[in-house]
Amino acid sequence: MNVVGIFLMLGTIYSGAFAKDNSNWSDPSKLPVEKAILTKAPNVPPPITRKNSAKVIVEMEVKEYTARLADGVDYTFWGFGGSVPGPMIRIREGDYVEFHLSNHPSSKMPHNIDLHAVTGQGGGAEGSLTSPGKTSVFNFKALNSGLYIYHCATAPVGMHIANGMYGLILVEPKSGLPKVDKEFYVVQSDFYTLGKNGEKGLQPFDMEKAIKEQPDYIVFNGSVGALLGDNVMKADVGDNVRIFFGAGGPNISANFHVIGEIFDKVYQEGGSTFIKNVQTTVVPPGGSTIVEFKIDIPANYILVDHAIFRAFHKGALGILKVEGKKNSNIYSGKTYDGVYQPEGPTIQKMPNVTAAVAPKANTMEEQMKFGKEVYENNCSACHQNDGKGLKGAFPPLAKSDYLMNDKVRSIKIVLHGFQGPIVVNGETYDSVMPSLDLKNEDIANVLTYVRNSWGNKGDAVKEEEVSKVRKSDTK
Amino acid sequence: MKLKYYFLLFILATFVTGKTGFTSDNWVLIPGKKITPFLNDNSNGSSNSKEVEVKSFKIAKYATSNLDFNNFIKNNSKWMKKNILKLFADDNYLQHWQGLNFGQLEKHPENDYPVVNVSWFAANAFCSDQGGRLPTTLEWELAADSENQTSIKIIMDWYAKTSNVMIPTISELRPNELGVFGINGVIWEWVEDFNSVMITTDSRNNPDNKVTGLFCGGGSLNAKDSSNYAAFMRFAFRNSLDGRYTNGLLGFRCAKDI
Repeated sequence: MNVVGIFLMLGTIYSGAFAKDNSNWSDPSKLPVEKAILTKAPNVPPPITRKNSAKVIVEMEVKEYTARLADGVDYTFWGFGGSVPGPMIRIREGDYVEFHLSNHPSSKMPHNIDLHAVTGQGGGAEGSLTSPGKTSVFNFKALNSGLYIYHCATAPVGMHIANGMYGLILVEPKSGLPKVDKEFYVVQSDFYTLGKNGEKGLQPFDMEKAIKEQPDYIVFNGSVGALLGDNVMKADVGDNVRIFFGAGGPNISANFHVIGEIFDKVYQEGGSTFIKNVQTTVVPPGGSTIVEFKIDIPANYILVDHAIFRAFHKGALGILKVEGKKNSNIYSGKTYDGVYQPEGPTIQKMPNVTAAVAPKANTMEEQMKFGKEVYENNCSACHQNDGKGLKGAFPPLAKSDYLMNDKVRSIKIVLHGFQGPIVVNGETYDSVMPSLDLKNEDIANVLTYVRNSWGNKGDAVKEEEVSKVRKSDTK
Repeated sequence: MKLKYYFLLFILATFVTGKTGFTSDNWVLIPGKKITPFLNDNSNGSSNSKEVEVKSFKIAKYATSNLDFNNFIKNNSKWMKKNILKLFADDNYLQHWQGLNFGQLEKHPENDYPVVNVSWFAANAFCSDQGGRLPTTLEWELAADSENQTSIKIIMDWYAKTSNVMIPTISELRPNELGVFGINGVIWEWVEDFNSVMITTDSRNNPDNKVTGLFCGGGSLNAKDSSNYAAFMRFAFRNSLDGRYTNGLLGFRCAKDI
């Protein structure tokens, strides 16, 4: 064997085992071929471990289907992969992608795809307009790393996006992303229905509201509650978590925030550099971000759009449930619960001033009236004004078996607060209700109110009953 | 592209017999009118409010039914599924007929439903056989009364439903104000020049003479009414077609000169 032969041999071994950059290969047909793994949200395809470029085959189908948008509300979605958001795609910078877009024969519309990761006419849209029952193929080279939105760009574009046609494609940098323990895929988007938020039945798309940019729903992963209840995302204490987050639009920018956590790193707008220690990050429609954080203590971390009415009234709410060992050096929970006296403990009462005494409820009607005020000030933020709560997060009071079956238990919960899993009307809730430090009379009134509102029928709760429970519990 | 179809039309015409399956009751007269097309070619810098004159014509009162098409095929065996050339239709041609023998089952429950899964070539041959032709895009839009708010609402409601909802028979729905039945909200319908939408006259911009304008909202700059989503969807749909394509929601109705 001559010297040249040895060099050739070494070269072969080298290219197979180490980070040789093959991206300059001019002939894509010489690249190793693999099929992309696509995942439905909130799942993320596995990290790419290869150190060379490849020809990646992506096969994606478009379907028009009717599914749940919120409880009792259906919508006809147009979805890549038959889901909203569409499946997540993961490739590597320098890969050559052969993209197969199929439009299900039952579709009414032609569809195409504009991937923001594509450099070329229409981001691929020009090469992928696909009639129902057909498949189109186009190719592109992933020139830039980053996290990119893809979406349908068939006229009328706004309607195709409003019906759910978007998703994320991650182009990993050649050096890869740092290893983490858990990765999630979340897309926020807005929906426009003919009926108001919560109006039941199959709701058609409302073009006027879309043009006025007045969504009825702003949700994570395609429906209200897609990340609540049985569908919460899960992690353990000590995990490093990464969320690939996109804003599908069509109109509304996301103000992504996780209640109880600080983003250690934010790759702003899905680009290559990160900033540290961020509370809330803005993501424009057709944009993305990557956030990373280490989880130190167990909690239900709540994902929201921090334009907060979107979270509690339009659906932009999700939960990352973390279990593991508590650490009171980081967060203690409530350690003291006492009376606050702004004047100081020595001056209990001004002798010449008669304290304004709140009117006392003497009748059931008055109990209901005062109870409603207590409810609106203390309870409605979570249980909602209509007593229906929020599915997966806050249990309903309206027609609640858990509430109505045990009066003493409900007194105890308002007195002391409550934590841990309970089953209400067949649904499991696992949240925290704080102790509200209300007077016996207020507790009696508010419980009388909730036990006799929104279809509930029960007897009044007397101040003495509350006082009895309080006494027996403090003994 | 367009030239090719006319050329094929010429060839096909030599095959058809002079049979007329329609009685005079089955045609609706659409009075001629000057209209502004929804999409306009303004590539040469002209304003996009150019009016075009559509001459009076007749259009079929109903979409072509399975029975109509079956009767046509009985006498034109080259359009049977087993005989049709791949050049003229894709593999899904008449696939919903599988297992059904329309020729023998004159009272088949699907007879009165619009025929679908037919290619442009087959639709065109059928209309020639009836002494007519496919309507042009402008004629079709006129007959469909497509800028009428009622029409737009019917269409938007149709789009909001998935296609597993049963389609009605050709005469089940009420006619529009012009007396045409089921032209909106039932199926898509072929037009003669489906693929000529927005072909620019300046072929230097578009050397393949292919339609590429209707993605990424490209069409909206040329549209008369950018909020007429029903029209956008129709034009985008036509734009996605090829003459041999067939589709479970795509049928046709014929037109003819006066």
